[in-house]
Amino acid sequence: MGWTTPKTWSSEPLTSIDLNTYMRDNQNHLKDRLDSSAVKSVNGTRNIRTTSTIFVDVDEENLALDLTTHGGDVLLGFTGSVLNTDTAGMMNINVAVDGVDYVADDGIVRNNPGVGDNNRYKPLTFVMMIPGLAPGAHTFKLRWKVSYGNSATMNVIKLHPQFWAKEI
Amino acid sequence: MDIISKQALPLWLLDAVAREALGAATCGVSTGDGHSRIHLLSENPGEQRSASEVLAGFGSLRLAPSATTFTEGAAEPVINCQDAAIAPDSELAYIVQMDDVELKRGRGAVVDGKFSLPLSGLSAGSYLVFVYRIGGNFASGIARFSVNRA
Repeated sequence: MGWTTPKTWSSEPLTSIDLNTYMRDNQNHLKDRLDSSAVKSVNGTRNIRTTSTIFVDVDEENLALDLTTHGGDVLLGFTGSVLNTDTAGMMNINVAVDGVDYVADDGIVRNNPGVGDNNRYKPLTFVMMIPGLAPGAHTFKLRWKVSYGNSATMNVIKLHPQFWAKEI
Repeated sequence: MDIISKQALPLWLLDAVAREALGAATCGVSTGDGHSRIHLLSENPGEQRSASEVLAGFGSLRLAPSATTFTEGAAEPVINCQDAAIAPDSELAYIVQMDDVELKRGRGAVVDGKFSLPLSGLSAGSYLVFVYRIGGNFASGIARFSVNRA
């Protein structure tokens, strides 16, 4: 149910049709948006690792979200812990919306968690807005890549990353 | 596109043999809970077949270390392979890891269907030797041994 711009009443009668359209349906629309979210946490027995130099899914099942939206802005967030094996190596993060990398070039965030200590997990977190998304079913996937000769690891055994989407 | 195996293989060893087999056709590999993936840049059927062979042949070469435990400064380890799969090969590639860190990589000759890799000057630690074909079906094998302090 979409949003209907509220009517400005003057002296006409208050009808059930108007009440249903402007009060009930709009309230339902706002509540549906408020309730619309998807979240996943990862609990694994092996950490997730990659050497890919182009963006690939981090985990196509556990770090992929399905959300049916009502049209408008969607907020995405991620919190996890990562390391690089190359102390000078780079790790880039992106998000795919409906199978297409949302941000061009090197993605949303570049991180160098290997600097100083390539054996210690470092926090990685971001929040981003997907504005004006059309209503309907959507998928959001976390993606990553590394510089050549580097590998990235996401801890899912003792630390448990969370990926979420929230219609706002 | 991804070619997937339902086993979690060692990341850097899979990366090495995948890049050997596929060159610029792969951008790398990923591993996780119960799966390994070779990432291909296109849907070329020949490349898909090669990637499938890399995964299917991973660990299939039979390697025989001269022993599984050595002592620093005593007899040096030798990794042998006489698997029928290497009969047509003239060279194999290898990677030596000590305590999960790469120590060296290179290539060695196959003579009369036999490959022999002597390793000298090793200090105490746990070793893994990964040997893989650089042609054909890209079969590979792993041998493990340890070196103890004298």
